[in-house]
Amino acid sequence: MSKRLGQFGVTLHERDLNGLLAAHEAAFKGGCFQLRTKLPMGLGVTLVAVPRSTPDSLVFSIPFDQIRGDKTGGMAAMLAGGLWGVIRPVIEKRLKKELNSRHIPEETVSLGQAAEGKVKVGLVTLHLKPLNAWLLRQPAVAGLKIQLDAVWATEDQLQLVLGVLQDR
Amino acid sequence: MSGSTSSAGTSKIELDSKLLNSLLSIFVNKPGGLQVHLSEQGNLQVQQGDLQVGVDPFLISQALKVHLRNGSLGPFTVQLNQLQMGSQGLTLSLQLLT
Repeated sequence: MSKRLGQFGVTLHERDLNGLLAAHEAAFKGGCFQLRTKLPMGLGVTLVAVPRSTPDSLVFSIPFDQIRGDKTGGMAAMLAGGLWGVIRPVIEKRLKKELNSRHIPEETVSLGQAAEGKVKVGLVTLHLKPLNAWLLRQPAVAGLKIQLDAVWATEDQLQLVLGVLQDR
Repeated sequence: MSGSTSSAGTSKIELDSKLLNSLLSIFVNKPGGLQVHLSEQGNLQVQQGDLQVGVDPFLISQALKVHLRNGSLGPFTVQLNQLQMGSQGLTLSLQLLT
């Protein structure tokens, strides 16, 4: 049983966030994440992930028309609709590796596909409920545990609201 | 954490007054000893026996570099740019130095 003590907010400015993301071949620019990844056939692609918050999740939309290849440039965007079948397992594998290394349940992140207006997008959803259940199972630090109450991005910041719980 | 005001180019950590008082109760305040409490008006009340000290809400703008070392993160430096305490709680404005 845990008692809720209050909240604290963490606001990461674009510059600081990029310092933290640099090691992961990712960047934050104009309110969007840019992720570089390599496909099995050797083609390097850069994806733009546009975040939006819901009360119980953070959803990243990856517009197919924004996908850029290292060598093919816009060609990758033209191919991206067809390539999503190739890109999705690569993202899935990379996410699973990150989750498994931290023993975070795989249902914390789900992948999908949708159409937003005329643009087809890949969807990566971070679900807060399983993430917070995992956070509650972690050992307390100085008798305290945290949970993620909300997360959202603005043009130059990523903002997190965290709840602090006292382990009893 | 509504009403947070972030100035351009600055990362922040904001502790609301409820959390701040809870942490003071757990880690600082001792029965019959030192008592520290943030009032609803944003005054920091410090009491030890019959000695009482009140600190008005403040904003300190003074760059202070803090060097952190953690096993998994490696050493890094945080520059604390501003420290603000008031009725809303405590706000630290900072930037990471690489």
